[in-house]
Amino acid sequence: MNGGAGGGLLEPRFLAELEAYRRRFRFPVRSGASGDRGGRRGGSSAEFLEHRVYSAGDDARRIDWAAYARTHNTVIKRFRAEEDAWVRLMIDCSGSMAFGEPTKHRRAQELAAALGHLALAQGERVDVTVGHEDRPRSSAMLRGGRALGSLCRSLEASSPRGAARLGSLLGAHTRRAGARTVLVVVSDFLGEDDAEVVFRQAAARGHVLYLLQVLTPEEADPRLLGDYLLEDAETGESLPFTADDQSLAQYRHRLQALQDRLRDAAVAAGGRFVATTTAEPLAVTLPRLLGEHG
Amino acid sequence: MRLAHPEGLALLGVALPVLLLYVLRQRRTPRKVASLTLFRRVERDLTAQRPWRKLLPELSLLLQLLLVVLLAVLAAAPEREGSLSSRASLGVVLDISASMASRRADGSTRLQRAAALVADLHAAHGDRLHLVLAGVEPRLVEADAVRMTLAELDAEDTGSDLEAAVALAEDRLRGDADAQLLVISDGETPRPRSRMALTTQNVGEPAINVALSGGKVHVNGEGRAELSALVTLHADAGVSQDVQVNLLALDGDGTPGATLDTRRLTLRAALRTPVRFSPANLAQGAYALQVSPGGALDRDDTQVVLVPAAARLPVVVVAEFQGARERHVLVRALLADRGVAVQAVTPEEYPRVDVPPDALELMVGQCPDGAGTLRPRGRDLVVFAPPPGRCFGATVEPLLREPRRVVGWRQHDARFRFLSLDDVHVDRASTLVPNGGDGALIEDRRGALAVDASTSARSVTVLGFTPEASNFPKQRNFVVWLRNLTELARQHRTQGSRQRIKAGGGQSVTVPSEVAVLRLRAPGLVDRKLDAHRGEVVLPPLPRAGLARLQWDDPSPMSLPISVQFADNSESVLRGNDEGSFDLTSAPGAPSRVLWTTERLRLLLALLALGLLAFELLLYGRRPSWLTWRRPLVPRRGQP
Repeated sequence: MNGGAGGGLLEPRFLAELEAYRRRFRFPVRSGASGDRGGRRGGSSAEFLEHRVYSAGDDARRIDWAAYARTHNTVIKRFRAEEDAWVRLMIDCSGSMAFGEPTKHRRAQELAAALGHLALAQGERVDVTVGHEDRPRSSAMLRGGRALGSLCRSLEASSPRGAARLGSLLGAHTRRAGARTVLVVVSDFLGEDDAEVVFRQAAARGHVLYLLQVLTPEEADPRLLGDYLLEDAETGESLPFTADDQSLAQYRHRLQALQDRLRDAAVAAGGRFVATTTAEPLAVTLPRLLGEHG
Repeated sequence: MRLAHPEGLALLGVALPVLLLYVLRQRRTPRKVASLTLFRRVERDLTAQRPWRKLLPELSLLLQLLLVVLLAVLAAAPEREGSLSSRASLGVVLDISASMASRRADGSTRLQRAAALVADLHAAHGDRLHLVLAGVEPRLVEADAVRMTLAELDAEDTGSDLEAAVALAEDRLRGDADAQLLVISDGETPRPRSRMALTTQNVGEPAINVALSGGKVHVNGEGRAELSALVTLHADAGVSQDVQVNLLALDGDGTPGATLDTRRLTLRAALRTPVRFSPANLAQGAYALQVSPGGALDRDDTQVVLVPAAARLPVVVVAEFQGARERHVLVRALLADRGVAVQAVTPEEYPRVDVPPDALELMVGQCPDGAGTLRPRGRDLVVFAPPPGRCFGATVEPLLREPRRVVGWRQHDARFRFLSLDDVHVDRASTLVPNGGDGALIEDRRGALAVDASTSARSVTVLGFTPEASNFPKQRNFVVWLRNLTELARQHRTQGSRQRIKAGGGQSVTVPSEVAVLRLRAPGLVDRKLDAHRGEVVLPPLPRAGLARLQWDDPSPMSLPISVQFADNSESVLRGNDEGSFDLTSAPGAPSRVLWTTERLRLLLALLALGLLAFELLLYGRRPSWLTWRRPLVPRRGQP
């Protein structure tokens, strides 16, 4: 890591802004493993959760004798369990992410670093998976604010190349993961595979989905006019294309439909979908992702 | 609004190839994209394989089409039909060039139509109308004389200087911000430029015309006069016409008399056909060559030519003869030419000899410049070996008795055509110092041996040696030189003056030096009295072609005919311009309807076209991002 805690991905000034989000935002799903935050289940922390009528088999050490003296009812005291959230950052590193200025891949790295920093600062567990083609590479499980450097190094170690296999990558993860996780997927979602099916499967397994679509301004609104021979950056396939009002309207319609499907999948999984462009500042994108409108 | 040249709208056809260039599919631009997923559409792919494409509303295409439309409108020359404000001052420049005298099918002339319009304008504007007649020189007509001038108006046989006339009208209207300027012309002269808002009213229409030009007389070696001219048919290509050219004798007033000879010609458009008459025993006098039928313009149908008094050129040799006069070297050489009548006289006899004013005089040893007893009377004069002193402005130095060799002569001078002076040397000669810097005709190493001392009234050649003092007479070139002198004298004799007299120009003619006061009678001009000075009289501009006469009574009653030529052959070409013709029947009593040539509109259109072109070039060369039609889709803040 070079520079400060955020390396080259996060500027110190932006890190200071993230502190405000750290206090207001909380990842919505608990993994079930012990952590720093109180969970909905009963546990062994010092925080009182509720009284419950004693039943056979309960630990007699938990009977609240003071309550018995007042009410002559035998109740036991329950305390809140302390759990953490497992945040998995998945970055699309296919060749299509190399477009834009800055590149979509760079903007994806910055977004992932920002979210990872938030999670680490809140004591959550974080790991990073950078995926291109069928050889995804995952980092070790990271925890604590000091792990931000490792997080950034894992992110910066990737470079965009090859074709995207986002669907298969997600599918493998959701099948392996034993606990509910917060899945943050940063991609342009322009790959050929049908990742939306995997998104629904992940939602069914209790995973929360945060989907970030990063596009270039040209992809969001093509300024083409005339005859082109388009070449796919990932597959090398060529396509003659005549750009006119009609064809570009269809392009925009298709993009809108894709974004609608992604939004539906994210909302169904208790998360959020945000589309951004490389021209949009990070400080504008992140509040939208975290639900900070305005 | 109407169009002066609607054929200019044909330029709109240029829009078709422009559209074609945009419809034809160009080579596809390769472009790498992140993914083809969103671009992939089967039906569009099929369309993309076609050789043409859908016409897209590109800014560049719209600019180019607009440019084509602007250029077409410019070429079509829009004009606005409107009425003149009767409260504003109006400067009217009226073209009175020769072409304005051409006639329409109904018999009226262009000038008559124009004068009717001016009269109508004068009725509406009164004293606020300032009329300028645009002839060879512009003339301003005072407000109270407009009606009378229009009644007596006649076209001049000249071109017109519309630029000068417009400048005069502008000068008259200076300081009046609301003043309007109207040029009434037949379109045969270029459109004038003006600092003011200029409107032109065309009164011409295309017409076929036959014109005579270049009428002249040539006396051949046998002393027989040949009259010739050129006949031209001004019409569209492919047109031909049969005409006849008549030779007429003119009486003293220029009235045509009997027809002496006739030639029939078949003319072809734009080709000059020569016609020549050479009748026997043609007497001295004025003759007219006349073509019939002459076409729309009458003024150029006649050419007046003057046949000199004697068919043979009178030549007077004044010298101290040693022996028989006919054996003198000059007389002997001149007698070889049968077209001359030679008189050989001594200086003492000279005052008593009758010398015609168009004679060639050769004087040896004398300088008859008027200072001594001898006074020159001929039109052309050659002086050999004058005494030291002044001679016609040249300085004659003392005689130098030593051999001198000619080293140079003015080869382009008409007196030295077809000859060489390479081997000429002189035994004794006086060096001459010409009055002007370029007066030397023959030179040796010491200076000039011959100079040109011509005046405006007389052609004078001064030689510093006698023929006998050189080997020149022994050479064949000597006869050629004398023949050149006689030929030049014949030309001067035919023309009657040094310059060719054309209508419209103030030129001088030669008269006997004794004449002091004379009268001028010329067509289109009131008789007037003129003064002569030292044998020269300067004529006023003569407005009409034809036969003019100078008459004097002292020292003896005499008359000198002058042939005034049609000034400008281009006036015979009646291309005309009938787009701006107006209907006279609707004019009386009503505000005059004219066609305003929207100069400012044209300028505006031209500037707009230029701006569009520059914008298109900018767009083609480097397209600024702000020129993009579609606004980029930037996700709004807070968008889920």
